[in-house]
Amino acid sequence: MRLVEHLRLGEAAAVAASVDPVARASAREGLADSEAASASAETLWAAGRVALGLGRALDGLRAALDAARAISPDATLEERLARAGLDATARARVAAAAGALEAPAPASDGAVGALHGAQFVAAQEASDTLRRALAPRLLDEVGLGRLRRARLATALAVVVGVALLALWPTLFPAPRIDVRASAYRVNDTVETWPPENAVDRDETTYWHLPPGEAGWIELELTPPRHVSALRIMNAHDNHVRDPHRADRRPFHQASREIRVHAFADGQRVAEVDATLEPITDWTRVTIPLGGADGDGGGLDDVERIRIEIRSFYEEGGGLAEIEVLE
Amino acid sequence: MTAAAQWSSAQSSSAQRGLGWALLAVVALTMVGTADLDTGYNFDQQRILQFHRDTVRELRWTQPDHTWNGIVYLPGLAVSLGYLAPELPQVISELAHGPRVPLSSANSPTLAAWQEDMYRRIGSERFKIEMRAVYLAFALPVLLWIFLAVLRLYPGRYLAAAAAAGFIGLSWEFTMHTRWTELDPTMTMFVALALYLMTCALTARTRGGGLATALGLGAAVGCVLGCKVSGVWLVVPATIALFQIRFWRGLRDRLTLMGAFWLALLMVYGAVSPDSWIDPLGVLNHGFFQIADYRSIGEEYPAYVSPPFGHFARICRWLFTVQPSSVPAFAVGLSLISAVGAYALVRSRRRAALTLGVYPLMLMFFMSRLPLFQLRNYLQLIPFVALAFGAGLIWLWARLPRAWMRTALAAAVTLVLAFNAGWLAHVQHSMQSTTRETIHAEVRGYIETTDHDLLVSPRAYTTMREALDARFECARRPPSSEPALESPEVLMYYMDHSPWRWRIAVPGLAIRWFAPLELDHDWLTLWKGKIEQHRFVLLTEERAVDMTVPVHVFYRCHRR
Repeated sequence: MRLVEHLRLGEAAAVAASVDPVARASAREGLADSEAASASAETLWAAGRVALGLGRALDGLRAALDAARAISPDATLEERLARAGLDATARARVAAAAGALEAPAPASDGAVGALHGAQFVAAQEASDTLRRALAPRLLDEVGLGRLRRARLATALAVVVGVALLALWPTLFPAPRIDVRASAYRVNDTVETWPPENAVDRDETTYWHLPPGEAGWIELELTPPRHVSALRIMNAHDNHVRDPHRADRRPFHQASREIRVHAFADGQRVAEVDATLEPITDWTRVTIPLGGADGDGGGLDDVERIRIEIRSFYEEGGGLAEIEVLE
Repeated sequence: MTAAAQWSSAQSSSAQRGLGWALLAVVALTMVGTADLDTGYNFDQQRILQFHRDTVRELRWTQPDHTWNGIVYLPGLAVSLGYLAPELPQVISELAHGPRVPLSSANSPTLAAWQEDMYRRIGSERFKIEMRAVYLAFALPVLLWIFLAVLRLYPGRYLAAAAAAGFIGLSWEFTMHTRWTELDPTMTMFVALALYLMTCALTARTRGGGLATALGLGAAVGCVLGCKVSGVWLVVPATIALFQIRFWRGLRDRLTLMGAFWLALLMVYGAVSPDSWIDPLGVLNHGFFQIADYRSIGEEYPAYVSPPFGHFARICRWLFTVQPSSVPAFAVGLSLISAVGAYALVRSRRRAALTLGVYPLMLMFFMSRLPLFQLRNYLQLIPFVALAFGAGLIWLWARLPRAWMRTALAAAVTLVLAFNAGWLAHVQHSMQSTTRETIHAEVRGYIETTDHDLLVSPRAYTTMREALDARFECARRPPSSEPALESPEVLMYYMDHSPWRWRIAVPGLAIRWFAPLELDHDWLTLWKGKIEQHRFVLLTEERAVDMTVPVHVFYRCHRR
């Protein structure tokens, strides 16, 4: 309900309609005075001029209370605050701060005690509360209309923004490649060479099959897409001599004979055999996928690609990088 | 002032508040949105990963071997526990029904399955990226603390506060560190929190607020210490700030505040760095070893700088001419505003200036005495410069006599910060689009257009032979047997020189790097990153000789 009222400004409009235009102008002036006094109070307090700061904070509260008088000149403070739209808690807080206005103000910074600090905070909060509540109630019809439109536009922008954020992945799904493998090498339970490493765009991380085993790695393409070729970098340890890479150890795994299977609509649409060489530089091999007739023109709507490692060099198979070329 | 003008001024201050917060959000979104976390190998990462493997294997929550204080451990732990969270009810149920040996995966098949799954994850790049995302999240609140600190000293100055947040949040030098498995941006965030709480202490309004500030400050300093022991100097300005809290001025009051501060500090430090009470001697021993290690490096070490003046000058050079913007002229411009802010603070907020200035000065003083220059140690100075930047803007705005001058100042600062934001987007694009092929294309483009003769490393010559032979006559001959090269430049793969012989943190080290903008290569030359093996570098001959690059075996290429 409060949100609806915040956007509709019904209560504010009812109060504003009953305010005399001259009184409205004077009250708006009072609110502006209050705002300026509160701002300078903050600055003075932050600069260590606390006695002056407290004085300005109290001036700010006085000005806000004077402005409240415009919306119901003959009412009591309690009624006035209620008409300004404050709930019971806020009314009590403002009334308490207003009650302390009569206390003598400290003459110097040295005379400012802990109670004065509390009074400063209470006065500033009360002024702010009152100003926020009064501001829409002191607008004319044009101003109210403008405020209403601004609030509606803000609410709309927030709703649209949140909805867009929530729906973005559904509306505009980012192309994704999920990867899995028949197995991966695990060394003494702490070192691993998982299949994700073959599609992470990092040439120095690898998927390794367990030593001595043949196996496969499979890429699932979301959404299915046209694929013209694969570019593959064989497993290697080219950088093993790098003294700065504590994680790099020599290994003796690389794939030799591979068979690439491509699937679209649940059917196998290509099967290509290739032989990889062990690499000593950063060479990649391009394997065109030309469909069942091998025309080299690529395949449409490919949803899955499986690379079967049929044999390997030395201890086992593995790949460093797989790129899907569209 | 007329009523209408006053009303309009009140409205504009409210608008400024809204705009200030909106700009802060824009800075935060830019910082996160341009952060490419897929940066390859970074310093210390392997060790941290090893700890996490041990954690998973041994089901422990402390470092198996104390190397850093505990906060470095939390991002990875958060990721590991994030994967465990959905399984936790099942694990608890299995452990509760099993033999009374708690936390053993032998008693919980679900826990054992999680362990196996985590071994695989920790071995993958994905885990590193997820861990870096947590590091980035830890660093992000630095923007809020700077924003609030400026507002605390200069209430209502929302735009200046947002600009101060932009000063650090759009700084490439800062943001590039937030993308790594690196603790220093997190430490910087906690230092900025302590800075904000010190401004709260200096402007406290109530007794309750003063006590809460003391507790908060203790917790913030505890977190800084939980990152690195070098944060211990923060105790000094924190204590000075506590002594200035209004309404807590008597001896008893001050002792109470100090008690609250130290209680919070020790409790938080103990919680985030459990090694310190489980194995205090080990932690102390490591601390002393670290200090000795920092002191013992020799001139041949890549990160060596001559202490204290050379080191101090290098810190200042980076902090004021490099860190604020990737364009030196812009960086100097922003630094001048910070200098004005420092002056304004000393002039009009002397207590605040002296209190807040203690930590950066002490840090620079003590670090300058060491021969080891590590850029990341100085990230924690940036919040102080950012605060001074905000103060400088406010001071200039109030004192520039003409409206067009103020407009020009605002426009210039906006443009430079917008440029910095654009640079971050450019960096992200560079990291995502640079490949071996694009690097080769760039190098070929350089070879086709350069007006210099070249000294080319054998491996670079092999790769670029076609382009070089088209414009140059290249041969490996002794220099004495041929005409001298005309203003030669040295073109080589970065990896053609031993990493230990490169100098780091040398301003203007290279004429040009052909590499993704993963970072500022001149200042962090030994960076590994993702495609280090394909990184080319172009140097002056003097610089190459200075770094013992063996140019005498390089191809000597004369323009045809």
